[in-house]
Amino acid sequence: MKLELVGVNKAFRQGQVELKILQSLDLNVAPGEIVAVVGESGSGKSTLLSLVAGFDSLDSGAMKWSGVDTLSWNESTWAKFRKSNLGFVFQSYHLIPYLTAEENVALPLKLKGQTDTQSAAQLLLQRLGLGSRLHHLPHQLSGGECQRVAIARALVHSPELILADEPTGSLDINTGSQVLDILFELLGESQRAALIVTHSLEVAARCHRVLTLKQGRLWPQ
Amino acid sequence: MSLIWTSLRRERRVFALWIFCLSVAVTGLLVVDVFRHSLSETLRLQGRKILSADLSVSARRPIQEAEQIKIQQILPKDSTTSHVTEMLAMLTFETNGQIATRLSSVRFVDDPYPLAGDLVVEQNGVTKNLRGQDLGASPSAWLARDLATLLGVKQNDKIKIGQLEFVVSGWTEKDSTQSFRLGAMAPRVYVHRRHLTQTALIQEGSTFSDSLFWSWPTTDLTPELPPVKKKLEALLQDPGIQVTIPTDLEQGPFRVLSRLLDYLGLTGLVTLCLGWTGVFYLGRRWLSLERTTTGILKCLGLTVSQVRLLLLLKLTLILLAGVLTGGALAWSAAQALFPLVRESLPSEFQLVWSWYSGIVLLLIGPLAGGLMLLPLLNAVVRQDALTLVRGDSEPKPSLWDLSLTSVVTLALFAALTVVQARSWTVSGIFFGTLIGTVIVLAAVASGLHRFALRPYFKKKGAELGWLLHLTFALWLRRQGLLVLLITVTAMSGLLSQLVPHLEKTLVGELSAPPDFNRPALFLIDIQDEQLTDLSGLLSANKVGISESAPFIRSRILQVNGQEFERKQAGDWATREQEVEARFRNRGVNLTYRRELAAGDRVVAGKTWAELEQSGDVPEISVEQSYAERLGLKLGDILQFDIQGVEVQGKIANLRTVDWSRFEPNFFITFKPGVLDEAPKTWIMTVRRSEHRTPVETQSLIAKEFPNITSINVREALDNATELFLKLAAGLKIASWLCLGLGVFVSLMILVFQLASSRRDWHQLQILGLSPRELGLLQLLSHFGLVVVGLTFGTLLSAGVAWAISHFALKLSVRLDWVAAGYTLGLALVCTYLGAWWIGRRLNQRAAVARSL
Repeated sequence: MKLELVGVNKAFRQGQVELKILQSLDLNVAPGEIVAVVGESGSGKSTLLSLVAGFDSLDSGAMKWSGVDTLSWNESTWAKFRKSNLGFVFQSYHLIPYLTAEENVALPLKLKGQTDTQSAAQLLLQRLGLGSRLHHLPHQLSGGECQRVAIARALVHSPELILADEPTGSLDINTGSQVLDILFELLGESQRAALIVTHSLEVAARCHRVLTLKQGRLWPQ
Repeated sequence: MSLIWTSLRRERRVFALWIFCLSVAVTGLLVVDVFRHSLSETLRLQGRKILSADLSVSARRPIQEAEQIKIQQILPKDSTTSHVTEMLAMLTFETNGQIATRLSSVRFVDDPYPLAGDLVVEQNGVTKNLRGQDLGASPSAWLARDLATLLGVKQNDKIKIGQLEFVVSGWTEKDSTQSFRLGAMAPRVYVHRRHLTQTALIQEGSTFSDSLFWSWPTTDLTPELPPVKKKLEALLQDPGIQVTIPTDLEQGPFRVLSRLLDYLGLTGLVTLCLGWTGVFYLGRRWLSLERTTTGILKCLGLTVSQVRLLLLLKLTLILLAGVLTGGALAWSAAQALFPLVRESLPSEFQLVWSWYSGIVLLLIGPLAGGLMLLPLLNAVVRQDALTLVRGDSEPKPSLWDLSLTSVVTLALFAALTVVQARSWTVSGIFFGTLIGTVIVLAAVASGLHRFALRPYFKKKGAELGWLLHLTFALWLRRQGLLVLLITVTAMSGLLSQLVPHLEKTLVGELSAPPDFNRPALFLIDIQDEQLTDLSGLLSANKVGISESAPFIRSRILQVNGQEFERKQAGDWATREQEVEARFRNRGVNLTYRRELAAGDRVVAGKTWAELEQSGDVPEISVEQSYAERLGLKLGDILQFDIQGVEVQGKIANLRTVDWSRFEPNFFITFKPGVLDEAPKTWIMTVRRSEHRTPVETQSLIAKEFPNITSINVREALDNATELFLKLAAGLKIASWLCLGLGVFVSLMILVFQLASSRRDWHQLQILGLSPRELGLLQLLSHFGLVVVGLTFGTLLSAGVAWAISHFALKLSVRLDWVAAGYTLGLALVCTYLGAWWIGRRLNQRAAVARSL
């Protein structure tokens, strides 16, 4: 599934001042391609992710998924789309606190209506070295373990695109490195595309393409 | 202070919300209190009308001048006095050209009478309020209309009372001293007291009642009257002198209503607890927002004490703002509500603000809610700065702080119950019951969690769809939320639905069964030989007889061979002993009947058909509460004295009586056989006829049978029922306010639960749940708990209503499921709409984008 953004504009109003975040931004992510977006704080990286995931709307321009314009998509269409085609990894893990590791991973499958969700979740977690932590709640896991659960949750339902926001931002160097290994290994195996927002040069270096967000536009590096 | 002010100004939306919630809780609490005090005052005014004064002192002998002076010294200087003498006197009058006589109650009143209440009379077709001074210098008499009908006298006719002739000046239409008690319901004659000597009715050995009445210009004397009564009783020392205050006259259903008001006062305390919970939840949310700032301030060098002081000052300012706003809102809300419900309330109802109770509630109520926050506040200021800034670990209050605050809060609450109930016993029972109920509710909720939800989820969780899976997971892993929401909503459901159940029970006591036409007239003193002729007369005039029963006066001499009566009159150590002795010595009326009365139900012992009259001792049936009061049990042998003849009876069964039918009901009943030949009269009840008004029927009976007394019970019952229903409506309004507050607190808990887990909801949205699906989940997981809690509270209210009716009020419970259904439905709709609205705001796309 190909993602295309053409001439996208997005601004926010703060009192009398209008902040132009994205200006005539263009972006293409091909199937299986891993793209890193780097940029200064406040350059609009998180806004870009919000737009791509459908949580925010474009002021102008177009966004297409495999050639289909999303302009007419309503809340339900977006929700349905996210359920099947997107996976998320965040800096602060954002696991559901009252679900166990296994239940967190199984959740996207459940939401898609699959009944046998346990085995897939268990297999993936075992592969990520969390076989002994299946029934632990998020607050009983370390940061690295939480992020591994989050990666498993993002990939378990085989989405077309992974959106990652500073996936190693909360981890120490060693743990961060281990988590990256896992993420890229799984992305490579599954041939899924990814759009990774990061400050980390190490993360950017492992991606197929690196783009810099500056003055509201993406510039190749 | 500068920091606090800046924070309050910059975060004004958060604080405004808190102040709003707090003031709504305070408003609910105070409005309930205002209504309770107003209703209590209405009841007191009603009692004052029945007594016709604020206080009366009466005796079956003349009250001496020396006694009057002593009494006057205790009472307020600006009091007004009235002197009344009442007795049964023979009236001589001319009817149908013949001279007739009849024994009737005559009340001799002086100029200021009545000091309170109404005595409405009709003269020449004009109605007016009568005062003693209007009775005229020449002997004039005002007769109750019933009595005039019975005697067959007209205006300006002459009647002789004792030795003096009076002119009939008119009829009394409304006499507020004619109360619900049968004795006080009897029609009477009013004449001026200045003629008492000329009637020569008071002779050596005459029986009469001499009463002095007092009233004061100030109306709100309720708290002072009982101590005044005690002082007077101690001063007068004569048990023959009876001191009466308005609250003593709250009888039957009105006494129960008065108890309900006490209950409502205590209910106000439960709403206060709900308010505390609300304040606590608001505070918890506020403290979670303050954590980062507190951490930063500590990093910047503020000490733990300084940070604590800062938070405490902020908390106090917010609480005070909420309390003051709430106080102002409460009075406005009460004023605004009053015109809307005025029609449903008694005419005497006026809004009364109790400053004392208001201030106590305002000071202790919300501040105690703040007190409950202190352990958490302490935990926040003690947590290390970096952890606070990161916000990745919840501060845990210390056990010592929690224990200390719990003890202080419980002590405050106990003190408040004493203030509200004005009784150690009542407050003790209430406090114990409340704590017990909360523990039971919490235990049930925990039991539901541990023994039903958890095993079910363990076994079937994997097979459940995402909606049920997430709901169960939330309930299982947020046990505190589950227990709290179920407990709070069950408590508010229980309290709000208890009043309709109790009201229906009490109204049921006054109203007849739906298929039953309650009697219009009560006929007494029917002679044996008149029974057939009277029945014939009534049926010839198409007036239905409801029931007739023989009426045999007797005294109980012995129970199982032991003396029954208390003989040493005047030697009673306490007034309770005196009341008990009078109850035993006043005699008991017996009857005999072939079949069990329609309103009677045998509850213990043999069935009615099994009662035997042929053995050594005939078997009798005794009314259950009468037996309980006298300590009688099955198998006891009673010895009666019926005008010199001794008769025995063995208690073979106990029965309950439906007194609401107002048919001839008796405490002790034989079967035909033993008492057939005993000297007796008959009593009879007459149904309302389509062909004749009760007054016409009374005239008909009086013409043919002048000795028979007829009392129009229908009107008295209808008036009493109407007043009772209006008072009960006031109670219902107050109970709705309690429910409203309960729903509001539940909503607040929901708001803050949903808001504090905002990120979790957004996660689900990110994973692909549509707003509709998310709303469904929020409703099922949170609203579901409210449904469970309210349903549980509904069932519990039925149980508690049964227990109160059965054990405390001694009445058969009548549950008002319709009102319960409406209340439950309304509460659910409000909560649903609230939860839906909160969910809608949470699930907005922009909110999700911000949380990314």
